[in-house]
Amino acid sequence: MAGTCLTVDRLSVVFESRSGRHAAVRDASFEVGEGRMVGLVGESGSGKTATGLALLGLHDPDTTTVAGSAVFAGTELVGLTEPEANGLRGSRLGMIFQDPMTALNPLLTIGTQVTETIRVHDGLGRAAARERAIEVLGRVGMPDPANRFRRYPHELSGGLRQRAMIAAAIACRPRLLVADEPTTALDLTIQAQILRLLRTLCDEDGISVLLITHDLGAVGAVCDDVVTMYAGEVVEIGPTAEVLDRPRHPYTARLMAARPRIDGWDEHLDVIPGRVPSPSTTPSGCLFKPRCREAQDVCGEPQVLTPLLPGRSVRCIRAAEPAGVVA
Amino acid sequence: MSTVSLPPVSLRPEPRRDGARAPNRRALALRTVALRIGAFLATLVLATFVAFLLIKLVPGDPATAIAGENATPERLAEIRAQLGLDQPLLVQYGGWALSAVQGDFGTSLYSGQSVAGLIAQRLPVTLSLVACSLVLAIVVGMAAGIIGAMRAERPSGRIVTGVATLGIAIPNFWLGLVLVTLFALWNPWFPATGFSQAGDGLGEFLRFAILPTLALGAAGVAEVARQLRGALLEVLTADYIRMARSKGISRSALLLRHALRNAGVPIVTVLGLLINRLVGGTVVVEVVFAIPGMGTLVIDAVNQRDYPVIQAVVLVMAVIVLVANAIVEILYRRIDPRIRLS
Repeated sequence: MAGTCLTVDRLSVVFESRSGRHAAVRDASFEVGEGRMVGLVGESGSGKTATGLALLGLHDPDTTTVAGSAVFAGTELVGLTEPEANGLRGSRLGMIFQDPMTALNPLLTIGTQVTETIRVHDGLGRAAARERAIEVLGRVGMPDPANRFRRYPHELSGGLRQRAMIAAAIACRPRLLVADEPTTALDLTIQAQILRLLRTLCDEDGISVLLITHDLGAVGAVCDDVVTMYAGEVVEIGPTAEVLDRPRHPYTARLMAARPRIDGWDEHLDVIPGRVPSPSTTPSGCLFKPRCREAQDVCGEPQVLTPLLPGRSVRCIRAAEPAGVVA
Repeated sequence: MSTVSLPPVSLRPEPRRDGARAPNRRALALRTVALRIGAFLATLVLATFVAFLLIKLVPGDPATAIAGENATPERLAEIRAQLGLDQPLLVQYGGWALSAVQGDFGTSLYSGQSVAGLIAQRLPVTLSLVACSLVLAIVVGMAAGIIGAMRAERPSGRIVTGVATLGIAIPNFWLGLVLVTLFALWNPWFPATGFSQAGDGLGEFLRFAILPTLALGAAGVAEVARQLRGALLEVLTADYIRMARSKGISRSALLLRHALRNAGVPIVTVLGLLINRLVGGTVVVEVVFAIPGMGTLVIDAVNQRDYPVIQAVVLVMAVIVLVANAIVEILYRRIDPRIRLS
């Protein structure tokens, strides 16, 4: 592996409200390698999105406490002031969101929303920024970019809107793109196109990608590494092929089993019983224990993320046992 | 269906949503404009006709007002015949409308002055008062709304919101009387009554206009502040605001380019309604401050059953309200590209 682009170390995100403290992310640690595409997977409520937002400092500081460390290209992201964060956001650190229908401003043209990023960070004039924006729109596969530049979001299809959003996020060639469920709101065929685009940007433009998704199929198709999160904790890390083919944490294994496959529609869909525990509870021991088939008494003990091999870690007491335990 | 199957793959290409649109768009636009103008005229006819009927419903008649209480019935009948008041209502209204269309609004039954001349004298006064109140509502109301939204959870924001809520509840005539008492009688800083036209010197105009503007515009300030705060609070939670923040947009650009624009449609609606209310409210405020505007003109005319004057004032007020509404609609289209298509 080349250098690391992002090192997240014991990152935690706590929402505070009148009803109490809710830990959305608990001591998460993982890395994103330079020029690599990392899938951050887990069910709804596992803390994936909260992690992504924390990296860009997009949480409301009045209600959210972010602690721990996240070093991006030599800069500590946790605790940045708003102007410092604004300097990074959009220039070296980009983010795209789930729903291209709502994440683009309906009142501004595609062109305005892409040039905005360029003009804020590169200080280009109107004409130069326009030229650059059209080039970027072409780069993300927008057909007829000069024409699309003048269009409003509602005049484009969902797939094209997502391309426009990607263009706005990568217009200044960031080193890391956080993609929060970028394909969830799209048609199946468009999903594949967008994933391919992200992979191309990673390979050819050297933009590392943190792909937040619940779609293990997407991860298997494009990601180099996988980070599995459960209830705010990172439970498994490893190269994609390793993790998906030989999951060592029972949760990853169950996620794989719960994945609907095109050739398996009429078979029994293996859902995971129960729900992700509420972020306000802090059970001791393994958080997955109540839903785990392999749970034993020792699982009530606190679990730590244990490295098995270089680049492969698992938070399960039984992971050290010979492979095949969690079939 | 009981069996689960894969969704069928659509072979039909997605319809193009941009590029060339249907060629009959121009015809459609022309039709829309024609309909609008028709509705505009119909509203004017309706407003003046209803006003006309209402005057006739009120007891008392102009002949008595002109000839005095002790006039003989013959004298009264003579005056009525002279003014055409013995004609059927529809004929009377039709006669008025026909002349009005030709630009002839007749003369005041009471003073004999030309109605057009009276309006020309009074309208600038009322328009300047309404315009000042509108500017006050926009400038102060928007500032208060922005503060209220940006500091929603902090004391400063809460105070601004609280004052705004109070402002809506205060009636303008009462506020006018309080302002006169405080700043014209107890502290003689401003004149209690009268008006000076803007054309005769700006300083004098402002000195006379400040108190009535405050009285008339306070509720507008409060309304704009409250609505803008609500609209902004909603807009600020939108995904596109988060997306804009993720691009490193500064707070001020975020507010101006993204948030305020999106709060624009509800605010323009409020401003349109506010103009209607200001045009109505000016009648009361002009009486409180004895301002020689349209409001005092129409009050006197109603007392004297001077129906040519009443009709003309109603017509002018209705035109103001309709024009304001038309401007609001144009603004909607300018602000939101999605409305332009429909």
